[in-house]
Amino acid sequence: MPLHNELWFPSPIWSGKFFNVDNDELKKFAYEQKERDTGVSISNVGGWQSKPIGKGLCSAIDTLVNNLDREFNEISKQVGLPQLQVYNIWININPKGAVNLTHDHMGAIMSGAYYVQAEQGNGNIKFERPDDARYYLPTPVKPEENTPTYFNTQVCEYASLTNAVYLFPAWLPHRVEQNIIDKDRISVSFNYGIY
Amino acid sequence: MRDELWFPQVIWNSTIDDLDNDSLKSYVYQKVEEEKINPPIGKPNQPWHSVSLIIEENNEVKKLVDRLNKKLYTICDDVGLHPVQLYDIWANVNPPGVANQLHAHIPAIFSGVYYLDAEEGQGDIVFERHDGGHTCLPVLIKEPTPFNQKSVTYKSQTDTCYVFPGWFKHRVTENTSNRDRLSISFNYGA
Repeated sequence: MPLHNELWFPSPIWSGKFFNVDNDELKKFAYEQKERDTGVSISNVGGWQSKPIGKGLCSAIDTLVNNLDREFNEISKQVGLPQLQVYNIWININPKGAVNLTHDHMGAIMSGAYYVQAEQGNGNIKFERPDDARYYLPTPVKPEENTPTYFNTQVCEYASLTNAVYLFPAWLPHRVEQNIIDKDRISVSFNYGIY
Repeated sequence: MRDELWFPQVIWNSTIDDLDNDSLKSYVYQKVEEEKINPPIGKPNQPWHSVSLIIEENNEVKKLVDRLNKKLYTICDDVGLHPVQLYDIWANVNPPGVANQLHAHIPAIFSGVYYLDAEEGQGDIVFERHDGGHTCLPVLIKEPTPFNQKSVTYKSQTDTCYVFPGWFKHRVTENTSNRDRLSISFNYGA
């Protein structure tokens, strides 16, 4: 019998773009919130993170949540989970020099980020493998051939780009690289789970 | 939306059906006799495993290693790793009533098992997730998928061979039959 393989417990990352969210309105709302709210300090170093944003305060965020509800509905079917609902949603503003340290979103089932204003140099998001393979896998992995695969790599990176949205399991550790340009990086993060 | 499946735990399965399992079984029981320590076979609730086998000592072990080397070469190519080498191989005997506790094979890149004598009831191998998903995923799921399970069980069957990452934690369920479960395990590394 030839070798047959099965992939268990993968860390899926869903990526796409939303073009129906009014980024200008969201950006204005984000800076207004920053003016009146000292925010919270969790994984952000040098950046501002809002407190959770309630429904009905910003129509652009409400549109975003509608999009996310639809996407998570499909994802739930794909991975065999009950329907997921938004737990919380918040805004991040990372000015030049800001980073987000490695963290996860324990307590949620799925999490994600939507980029309101982001471009190259603003700080990509990097996902770290959540298992013990880092203690076992050799480094480097065929460097001369540069063949990182889903199996052998320790980190995967997704670009921060305006309109991009990334959805991922809440337990997947991730970090945001330093913003090295003069423009603020503005994103909206969220957690989904089951009530 | 596009999805990409990162960092999966891969289990490769296949059969090796051209080995003389009777000869291998005799060899394993010969080892048991030679190593009546470690712990002795028949001691309640403890599996027996041999010290490292000397490949040249038995022709069927040589053949098994040859088959495994070919499989591991293919696997490494598939996952973008340099070829790995066998660095340990040993025999296991699980008498009735015996199980193996959860463990990983530090520091092997790939590990695996070949079943010499194993049928239903003799103890299946259970792989458990340790990526954080086991603490976050809900108890009630709609249908089992590779994403939402907290463990996965593979049957122990004579002639079957499983290869898996050395870090993938696993255990063996109790042998509820009245026959010994015999297998050969191995580790490959850089």
